[in-house]
Parts: sequence; structure tokens; C-alpha cells
Amino acid sequence: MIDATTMLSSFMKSFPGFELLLNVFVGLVGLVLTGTALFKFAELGKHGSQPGGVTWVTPAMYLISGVALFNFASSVNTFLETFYGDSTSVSNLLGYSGGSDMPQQSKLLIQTLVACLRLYGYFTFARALMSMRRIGSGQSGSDEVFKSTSIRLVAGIGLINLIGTANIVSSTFGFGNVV
Amino acid sequence: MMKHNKVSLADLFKVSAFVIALVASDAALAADAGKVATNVANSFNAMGLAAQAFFALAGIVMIGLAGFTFIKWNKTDGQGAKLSLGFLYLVVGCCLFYIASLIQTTGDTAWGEGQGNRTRVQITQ
Repeated sequence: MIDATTMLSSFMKSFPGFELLLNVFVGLVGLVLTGTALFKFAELGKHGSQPGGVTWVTPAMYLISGVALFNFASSVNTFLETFYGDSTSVSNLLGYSGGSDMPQQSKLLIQTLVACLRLYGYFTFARALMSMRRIGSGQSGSDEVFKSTSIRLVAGIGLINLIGTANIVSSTFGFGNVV
Repeated sequence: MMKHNKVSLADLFKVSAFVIALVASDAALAADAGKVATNVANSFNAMGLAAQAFFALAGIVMIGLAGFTFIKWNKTDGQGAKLSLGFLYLVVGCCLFYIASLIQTTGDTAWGEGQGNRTRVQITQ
């Protein structure tokens, strides 16, 4: 009979694979976007700037998005330091340890949940960087793109440093650090 | 009515899923989701190399195009081709050929020399 603890432990063993997939995926997308930026430059030189089409901003945004995705750890660090201070980075994020009197199963369940939400946060942040390329290119309305990109960036960072965010919210209302 | 050929993220995922299904034949035999992810990541590594090779080839083609543009400009006394386009093709071709250097240079510009972090992010529990 497989109990919940065994199930969660098995699930957590899959996380290094998900991590690898995330890192390789963002690297590949970064490379492709950088290359596309150069093609957009060439297109711009050939046809010139067109309203609603390729403008000078388009290749620049593709290049920024591509490089930000390729240097994914640096991009995340930049935002983490902006939101949570200089000492916060992807390498020293707070983990969940739980209280000593907490059942092992509950602790493991929360740790798994935190890891899943962090993974989702990283993918949300990567999606924000990917959608950033469309800012200023006149596709689907730049304002909408800017809004969704900003929301995804903030939500992604909040999820990546989930424990820090939970502590900040609880401290704001006077409960102190709860996690 | 104008037709917009916009590729949505959903379309991108559909194409990616199809490509992954084609290239990641080991995924079907993998023991768990983590192994599937690792296999897919390994395929992405190969795709990264393929993308670099494609960009290098495109760079060579663009440098060739630059040459042809210069010749055309010279033959037609500047009427048939723009000199600026020739230079643009040359620069873009070189950048495509050395795309890794371009990424490094832009990263150094944003975060300082050697400060761009390309290491793996790790998910803390």
C-alpha cells in the first residue's frame, strides 16, 4: 500500500527533471528570440518601418527578451533584488522547514506545494519575458501586452519567492513571519 | 478584411508537443514524469544546437546577400539597390554567425562584464 508520504516523496524526485526542462527550455527560446531579432533587423532594413508592423522597437524588444531568457538566473535575480532587497537571489531563496511538532506528512505536503508553485512561478516569469517581445510591435495592442507582461512578472516573482511573499503579507498585517 | 497571421502561445505549445513527440521517443519508456522532462530537455539541447547551426547558415547566406547587394549597387550606380541594406545584411549576417557572442555582449551590457548568470535556477522546497 502506497501512503501519501511515499507518493509525495516520489513526486519530489521528479523535480530535478522539471528544473532541467525549465532551464533548457528558456535557453532555447532565448536563442531563437535573439536570432529572430536579427531577422527582424534585416526585415526592417529591407522594408522600412511600418505602422502596426515591424518598427525599430520590434527587433530591440526581441533582443532584450532573448538575452533576458538566455541569462534567466540573472533576470530573476534582478527582479528579486528589486522587490526583496540585495540579499535575495535564486541561489538563497527561503525554503519551507515547518515546525518541530508538525506531522511529517503535512510538512512534506507543504514542501511539495511550495516547489510546485515555485516551478509555476518560474514558468510565469519566463512567459512574461517571452511576451515582452511584443511590446511596441503593434501586435494585439501594446498596452494590453505591457499590462499582461507586468502582471506576469510581478506574479512570477511573488511565486518564486513564495515564502518571502507570505511573510511580507503576514508582517504587513502584524502577524510577523508565519512560514 | 485583413487576416492576421498571429501565432498564439497555444499554437506554439501544440507544435512543440508534436515535435517533442517525434524527437523524444524515449519518453514513452520513461519511468516517471521527471525522466520524461529530462528526456525532453535532452531533446531541447539537440534543438539548441540545430538552431545555432541554422542561424550560422542563415548568417553565411546573409553575408552572401550583402555581397550581391554591393555588386548590384555598383552595377546600377546606386539605382537598383541601397548601400545601407548591403551593410545591414553584412552586420546581421556576422551577428547571426556569431550569435553566442551577441548574446554574451548584450548580457554583459545589461548586467556588467561577466556578470550575466547563465547557470541553472534551482527550485527550493
